Amino acid sequence: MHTDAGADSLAVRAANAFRSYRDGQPAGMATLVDEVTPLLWAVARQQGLAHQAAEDVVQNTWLKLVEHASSIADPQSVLKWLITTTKRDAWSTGSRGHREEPATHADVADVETDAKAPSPELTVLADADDRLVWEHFRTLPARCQTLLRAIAFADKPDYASVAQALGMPVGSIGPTRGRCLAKLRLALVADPRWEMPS
Amino acid sequence: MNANPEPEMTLAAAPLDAMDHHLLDALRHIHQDLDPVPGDLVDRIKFAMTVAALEAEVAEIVSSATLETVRGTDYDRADTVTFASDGLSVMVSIEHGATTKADIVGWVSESDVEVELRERGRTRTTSVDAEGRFTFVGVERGLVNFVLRRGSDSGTPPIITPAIEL
Repeated sequence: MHTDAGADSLAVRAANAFRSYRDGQPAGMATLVDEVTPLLWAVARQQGLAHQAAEDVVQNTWLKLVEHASSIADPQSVLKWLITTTKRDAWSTGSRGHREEPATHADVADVETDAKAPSPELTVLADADDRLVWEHFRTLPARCQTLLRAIAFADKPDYASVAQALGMPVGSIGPTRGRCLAKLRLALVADPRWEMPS
Repeated sequence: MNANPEPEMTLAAAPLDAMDHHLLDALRHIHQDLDPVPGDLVDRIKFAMTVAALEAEVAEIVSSATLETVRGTDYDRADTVTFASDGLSVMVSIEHGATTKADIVGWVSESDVEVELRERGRTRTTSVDAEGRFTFVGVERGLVNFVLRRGSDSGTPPIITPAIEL
């Protein structure tokens, strides 16, 4: 992960898998589903969809790919196509009322409701650094949370095109850091509990 | 005092560095912990895609049983599963050997049928004999589906079984 080599980019691996699927290798599609579903799940959930609605949206994205496989001219663009389709369908599903109520992460919903207790997410995260990153991530603007969560499931050469597929302006991330990561870093550096990793 | 009125802009314009990658790695595993992809979602997606790509009918599991044999050890049992769809039924019996592989013997209620076995990452095909019997030998453990196609002039869609675990 995170190298500049083209072969180590999710978009390139997705393009290769898609090409082999179109050449009659069903295993190519299985590889594609394994590699890209975590990113699509992140996109759908970050649009605020409840669990079941997010599952439906992600599955339908893949079914649309089967349906449209022959009309995608450039295999190189398949990752962007998947992200764009997921985001658009998640948005329209969400606008029909399948959004998640706040703070109902399935695993943690029942854990604690006392306002003075740490938030449920913080009790799930074992690592102190992770808890700090999460605390500050949650204070970022929604579009930054969407961008950074998706980027975290891609490889460095993919950042700019993932941002573009999410509808973010050019320069949101890659090759420069962009404002979302800058905000997160400033927030962490200003937090006395944060120790710069060596 | 910082002479730069916009430290965020300055930081934003710099290239990505090791710290950014550290943070993105952290965000990835934080989200994997807090909101993981549901465990069976990927398998359900693959099955739905196969059904769509084949324009197939999905067979139902009519019955399934684990037949413990006399010795009753882990390595000496057979599972049978019966599927049915559209007037066609198929019973498969899985014989687990002492290795990581299994043998499959099946019977289809019709004789002019081609059976495809879909394993993770590969497929193989055989035709049933005059009694409707077919076999696959040395199948890796894992999830498999069967796709059944009636004779080419039948004009019926292929039938796919739900995945079963070998």
